[in-house]
Amino acid sequence: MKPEEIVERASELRWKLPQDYHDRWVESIYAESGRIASRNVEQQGKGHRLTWERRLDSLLTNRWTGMPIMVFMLATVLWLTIEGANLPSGWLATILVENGHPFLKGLADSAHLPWWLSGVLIDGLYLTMAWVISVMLPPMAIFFPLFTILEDFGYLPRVAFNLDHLFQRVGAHGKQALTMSMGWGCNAAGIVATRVIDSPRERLIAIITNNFALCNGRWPTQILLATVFLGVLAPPAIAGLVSAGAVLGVALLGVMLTFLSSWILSRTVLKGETSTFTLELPPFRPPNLLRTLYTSLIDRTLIVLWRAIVFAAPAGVVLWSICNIQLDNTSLAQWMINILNGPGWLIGLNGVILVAYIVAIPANEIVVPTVLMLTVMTTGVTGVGEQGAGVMFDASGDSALALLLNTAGWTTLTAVCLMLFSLCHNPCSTTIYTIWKETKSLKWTLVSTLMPVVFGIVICGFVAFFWRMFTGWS
Amino acid sequence: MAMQAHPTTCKDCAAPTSSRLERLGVKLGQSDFVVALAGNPNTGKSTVFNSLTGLRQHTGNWPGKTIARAEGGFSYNGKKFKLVDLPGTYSLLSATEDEEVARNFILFGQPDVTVVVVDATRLERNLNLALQVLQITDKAIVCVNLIDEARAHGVTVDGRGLARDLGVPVVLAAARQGEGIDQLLREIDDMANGRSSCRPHRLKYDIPTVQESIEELVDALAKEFPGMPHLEWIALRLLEGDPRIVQAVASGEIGILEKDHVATGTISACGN
Amino acid sequence: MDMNEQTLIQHTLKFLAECEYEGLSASAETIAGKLTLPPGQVDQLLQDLREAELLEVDCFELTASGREYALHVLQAHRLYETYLARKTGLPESVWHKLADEREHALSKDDVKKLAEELGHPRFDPHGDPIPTSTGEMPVKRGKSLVEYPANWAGRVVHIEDEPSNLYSRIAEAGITTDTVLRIERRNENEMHIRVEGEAFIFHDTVAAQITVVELEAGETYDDSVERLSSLRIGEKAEIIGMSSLCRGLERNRLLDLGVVPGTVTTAELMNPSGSPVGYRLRGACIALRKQQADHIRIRKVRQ
Repeated sequence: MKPEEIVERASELRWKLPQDYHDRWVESIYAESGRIASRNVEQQGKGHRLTWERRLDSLLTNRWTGMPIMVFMLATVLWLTIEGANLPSGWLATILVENGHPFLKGLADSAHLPWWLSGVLIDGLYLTMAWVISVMLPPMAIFFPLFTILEDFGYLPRVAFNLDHLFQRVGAHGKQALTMSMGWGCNAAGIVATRVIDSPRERLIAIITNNFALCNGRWPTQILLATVFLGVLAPPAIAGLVSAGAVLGVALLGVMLTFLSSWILSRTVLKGETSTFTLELPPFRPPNLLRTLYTSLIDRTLIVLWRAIVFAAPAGVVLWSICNIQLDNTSLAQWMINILNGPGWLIGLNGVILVAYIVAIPANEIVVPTVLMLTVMTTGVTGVGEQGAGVMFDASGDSALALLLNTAGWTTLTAVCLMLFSLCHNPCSTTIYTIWKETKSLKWTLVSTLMPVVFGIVICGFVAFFWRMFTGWS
Repeated sequence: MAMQAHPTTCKDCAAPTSSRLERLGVKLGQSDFVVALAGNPNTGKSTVFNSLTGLRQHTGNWPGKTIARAEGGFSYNGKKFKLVDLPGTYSLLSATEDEEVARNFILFGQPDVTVVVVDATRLERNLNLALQVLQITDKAIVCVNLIDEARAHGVTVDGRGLARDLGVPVVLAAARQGEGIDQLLREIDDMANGRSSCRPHRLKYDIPTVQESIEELVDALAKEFPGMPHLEWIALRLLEGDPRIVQAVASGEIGILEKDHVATGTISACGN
Repeated sequence: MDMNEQTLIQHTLKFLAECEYEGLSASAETIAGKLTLPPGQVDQLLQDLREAELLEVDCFELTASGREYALHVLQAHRLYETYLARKTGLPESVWHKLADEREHALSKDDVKKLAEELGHPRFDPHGDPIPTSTGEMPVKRGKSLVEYPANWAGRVVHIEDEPSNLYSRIAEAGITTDTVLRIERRNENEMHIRVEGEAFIFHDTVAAQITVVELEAGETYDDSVERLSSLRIGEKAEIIGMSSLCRGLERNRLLDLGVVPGTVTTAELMNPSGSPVGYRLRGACIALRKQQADHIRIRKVRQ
């Protein structure tokens, strides 16, 4: 028989097969497994599950206890992350930024490097990297191990089980609850985690909407703005509560947008993708703490950090350059700010913020320092951050910061819109790259990148319009 | 697949296997043998991997954790082994990415030994995958892991009986405690060096007309492409109408394919 | 010939081929009704068909070339529906419409490729036979459900997918080809139907869409067959099979997870909202959504 004849014969034979032969084949394998297992396994006592496991399971998925436990766990993880990261972040900033930067500057001076070279390398590249490491490393080193412990113990599949009906309504998979929570640590890690969703449509939904989970690069922005602009509107006694409420509000808005965009996606562009649902609830197993710590550091934290550094370093160079390259006696940054002031005003922001967002695509961590640096440059305020153009810095205190930003024309509206825009803008370049690697599709990478920006522009535009309508066009 | 007589010197056997594996994205380096690790999700497969290699690789509690394969190495009796951790899957029959990676590796990577890790507490479910692996390879070892957990549940597993029924060596292990790992190493070494022989339990396609159809196609294929392994599997894929295999057979490419093994295009997905 | 007219011609040919298969006689009126066209335009259409030698001059029978063309369109339509059912997540309600649009654009080669990719299926998801490339089709069988009295039980072999509002009522009830059902009661204009432990009331217009055959000798309607979704927490059941409504990747996944006849399962955990439910299947706890559990047939095991 010739090859083509074999193929033809196969199609002829196919017609004679019973229609359900695949089903029957799987059935016969399972039947044989059952026979072999029953011959060689002996069960003493009753039941194959221990009582405590069953009790724990019903406790974790119960109508009355399931949700509170889940909220408590999540709140604990986030609180430990934010509180626990403060101290090491401070140390790292002291070492890398406060001491490391002047030290390197001194070295460069004594080596008689030309000003532009030391500017690009030390003020641009080094400082940006130092910034990203000190802001990003500690929270991730805390968040991911905690998350991995819950995962290894077997708790996370129960969360997916509890929340599945909510996600099902918007056409998504319960496991998206986990990739979303993972996104609160880092969107890139959240997107890698979507691998646990084995249905093509639901996985794409989880990838595209992950950016609405406020990542740890954006929490500080939210907290800062809420404290400086919203907290002060309330009496001092409840200022902290108000600003915490505002941040929580933005995070919850992100969750709502996740549901909304999942719903839209599953009914429009992703309608035709195949969809299945499987969720195994594995037995509870005590996690191995040391190994969890080690592996989550290697697998998640360091890989993400490394990518962030690779992307942030060039951003530092660009930032320094646009501040120091002059056109007609005006820096490139100033040109861009002037051009973007108009569109920025429309959505309640300003040119400085938009330029900062364009330059800071590589890492959300550097948005606030970039905004501050550009503001000082454009307003010429003295007393803060006088290290020169293109050098990022952090504000020494909230009041100094408020003064600076008020001088630059910031209002409560600017802060509110920036908080919203920080939630809804394109993912950082690390995340975009990760989406590309996971989907291998230009289309879905573009959708994931552009959809949040469109949301952001529309939302901020509306807020700015109505705000000005009610408070006067100032 | 015909059982190939094992060469006495390793230089002869390393050559064809290594070229194959390197194209599957496995860097062989100095290793003498390649061992694949298959298993259901949540069976502690990665713990076995770690116990064998000492490498701290992440233990997946979820399906699909190991889409990017993990690789590690170990030495035993002066020979170097490369260990490849395949994605955890429930089966090898579906067209999901995970399953294709695992299936193609076992079929076309032709590892020297395939270790199937099964969960002692859920043997019935796990043997489903083990039996499917035994359909497509001769050189397999079944590692019954989590035997400690099974004991806590009052479950005893008869390793000898299981070995007799499956026709391949069976090792009872508790990888977290390091129990049984020595024996597993010994079995891997014996099988890789051709010191142990096994006759894996193969299921007949006990469905009217299926077995006959497969036999007919296998005969035809054997005449057209002599010496090609996995004829039964190719015949089954032809019957199921797998477009890639149909095309490869029709154009006669399957012969080259066997040598080149880039059978399904998705093999490139095996790379890192 | 513009696109619109070609579409009309293809629809006409397909309709005539269907009439031929069903053993119904066609006329200018039935064609006008089916295509919702004014009689004048139908006459013009028929004239065009006869000129192209696709239709016999003196009657409404297809010529050999007309039949070949019609079967090609029919094959394209039904294969495309099968493709949508198996390989996409699109809802059943849109299959027919999409296939109607797509059938005209598929060439012979496209159809051949599609058939190959799907493994040469013989029936579309509604139970309609798919013509082979040589134009063969199995013989039609069965009668409409409305022709049977109360207490009659039989097997569904075909469900008409037009109009879609009637079809969706049947699909929502989880009735598909191969479903075994029993008529419990017949009232004026409606019938009470029992399927897998669930009861449905269908208006006769809905029931008329269902084609059924007698059960095989020795086979009876089995009252103990229910759906997995009806299993309460702690109850045990043996799986009997899966509905053909569960297809493609979804079906394979469930099979791989151990949803095969003979598996004994227990409902263990329920989400407060009722879906998903965790079932113990061959040693592992697997959560399934209600729609999935609806597709799995079981027989409860008394403890």
